[in-house]
Amino acid sequence: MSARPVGQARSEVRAGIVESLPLGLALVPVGLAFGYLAHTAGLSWWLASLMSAIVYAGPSQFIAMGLVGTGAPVSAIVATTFVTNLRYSLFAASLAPHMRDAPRARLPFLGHAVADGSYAVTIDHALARPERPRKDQFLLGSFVVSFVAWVGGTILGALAGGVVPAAIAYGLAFATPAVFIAFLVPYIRDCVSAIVMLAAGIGTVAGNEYLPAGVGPLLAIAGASVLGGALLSRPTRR
Amino acid sequence: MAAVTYVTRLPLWLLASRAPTPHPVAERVIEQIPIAAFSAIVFSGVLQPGGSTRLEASNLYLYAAPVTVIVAIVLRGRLLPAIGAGTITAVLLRLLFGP
Repeated sequence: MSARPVGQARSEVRAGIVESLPLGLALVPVGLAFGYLAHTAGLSWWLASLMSAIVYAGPSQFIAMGLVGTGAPVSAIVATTFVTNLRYSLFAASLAPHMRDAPRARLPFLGHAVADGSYAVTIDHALARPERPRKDQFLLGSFVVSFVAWVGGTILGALAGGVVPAAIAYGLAFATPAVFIAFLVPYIRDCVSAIVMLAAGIGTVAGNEYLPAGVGPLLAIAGASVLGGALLSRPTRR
Repeated sequence: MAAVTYVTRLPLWLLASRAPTPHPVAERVIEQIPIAAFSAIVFSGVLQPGGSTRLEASNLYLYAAPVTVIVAIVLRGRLLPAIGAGTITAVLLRLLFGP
């Protein structure tokens, strides 16, 4: 491999790290909340951290802790985790076209990096700068920041989560919606994107209210995307 | 949990390494996934803090969200100010009006 591609790949890792720092800051309090919840549910700090490292899927981990609290069987927890995280298949499908120049051997590992935050930063980068190569390296950089923040936050939360004042914890928990609001706003450019936003948002809220855990967001994201794609594919009137 | 979660992430590997360029309609559907995904997280995070729907005045995230939106519109593309404005608003509102 020549020096230039190596240099480009490294600069993409750096870009992924730098562009993900705000996300990392937002993930720490959420990890902290998860660590504290796991601690109160009876998990040791290292088990909670191990869970954050190898599952690496915040929403399903919160749901799993809730199910542990209700004494649900392992099979129910695993099935709920699968359904809750099925949206990652949609995320992965949307990232895949931007990863065609990635070394094949790296893709199985990089699959683990597909989570809400890293997906948001990477797809935003890929759509804004399609000419830049090696989006896999960018995803890797984003993963490093998100992983350290999420697992680090979990450890802190499990060991000392109870000392954070309630008002601060309440405000910090808003960091996750705030991150995604900041990502979402620039995408709402026309009528179709507004319709997709409302369909996915309202569908998710209704689904969370009336469907089993994790099913609502999955159906809402898939349904709203199909609706948006169909609207954009309509034949234009002359 | 780790294994089933990993299975949901496999399409990255399978589609990036093998799939041909998708049909234009499928491509337009895939293009909408980021908007739909971000919206799903935002709406549930703001309207359902703690898991249940809270369309009531005491849900302080309902006030922090518009502040975040305004800062995100004004400082288009800059994450940190938007996150900071929203989070600080939520903390201040809780300190002023919280239980």
